[in-house]
Amino acid sequence: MKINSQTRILIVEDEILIADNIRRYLTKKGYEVVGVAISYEEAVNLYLSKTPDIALVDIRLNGAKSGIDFAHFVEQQKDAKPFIYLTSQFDKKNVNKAKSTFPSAYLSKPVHKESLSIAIDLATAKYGRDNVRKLV
Amino acid sequence: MNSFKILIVEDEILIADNINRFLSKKGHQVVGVAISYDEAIQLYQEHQPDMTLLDIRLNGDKTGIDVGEFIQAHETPKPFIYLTSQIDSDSLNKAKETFPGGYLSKPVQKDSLLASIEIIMFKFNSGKEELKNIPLYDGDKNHLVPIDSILFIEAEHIYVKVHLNDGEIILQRNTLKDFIDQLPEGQFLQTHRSFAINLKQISHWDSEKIYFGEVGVPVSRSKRKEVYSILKLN
Repeated sequence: MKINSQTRILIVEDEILIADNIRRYLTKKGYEVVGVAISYEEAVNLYLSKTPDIALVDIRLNGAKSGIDFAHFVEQQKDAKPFIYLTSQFDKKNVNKAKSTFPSAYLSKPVHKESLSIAIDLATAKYGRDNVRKLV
Repeated sequence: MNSFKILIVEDEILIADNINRFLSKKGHQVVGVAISYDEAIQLYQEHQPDMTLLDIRLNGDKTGIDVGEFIQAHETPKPFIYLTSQIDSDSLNKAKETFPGGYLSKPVQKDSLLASIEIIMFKFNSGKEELKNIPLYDGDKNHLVPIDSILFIEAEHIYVKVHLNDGEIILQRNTLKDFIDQLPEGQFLQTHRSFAINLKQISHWDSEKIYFGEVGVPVSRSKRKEVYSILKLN
């Protein structure tokens, strides 16, 4: 079953095996994975150059900056695209930091794949609705 | 963590009970457990929960998606999360149309549930998902203006001038303070006795002014410290 074959996804995840696994699953489902970033800098570059529809973001990344920093970057862009955290960090500090970036969802790792594709569809549907409203 | 009033709609009693105990232990107030659509509506109206957890398959003909539709029909719908073990594409499409705050698979990962509740309630309370237009009357006609398109607001005598991103300026008979009070909290910042700015529209700033394209808005000496610390946080 192919859902939203046009949805273009950026994966921001420093564990290559996990990133690869998610990429293969999403590609099989008919999504287009436009890139995999393992650090904040790579994520910013790919976000700007590939203009994905949605980003999947691990909180802990390679380097000093985190997925939350990347989310702040996305939030500041004009026409900011939705993103979903995929993480094993559930401590108060991270959740509080994460919520102020207004993610579409906060999913735990290991990722339940069907939930992931549903969360992606919900987030892009909501984004579409909010944009229609802006035009009204 | 904040404490919220939560309604659980789930026909598997053991699962409902498990979630109930976990959320209560974490400081939330579970206002009820419903096993059918009718029970869910009744408990919803009686307790007005902040958040509802919805299993899709319920006891009876109607589903959790019907409950989602019921909630969504309210003027300012409270958020809800679907909890479900499997979903076919028809149901998924229907579920999507109800714009849930989230979707979690069963068995529910508890940390994920707790974090999702926290994040969704925060988003809801920030009013970020509300319709964001404001009616402005220019003395001749009413304009429905997206709040995000306001660059800054300038007080002048008994009026405020609302500067929009398309270059238009709409004059309102109002005080700056009363005008800002109608806008979403946190998005607008008063930088000066006569100026308030939209934080989302700033192009750049220096030590004297905040710019929207070419146009600079002054920052008063007394507000300088506060204003720049907020800009840096953004």
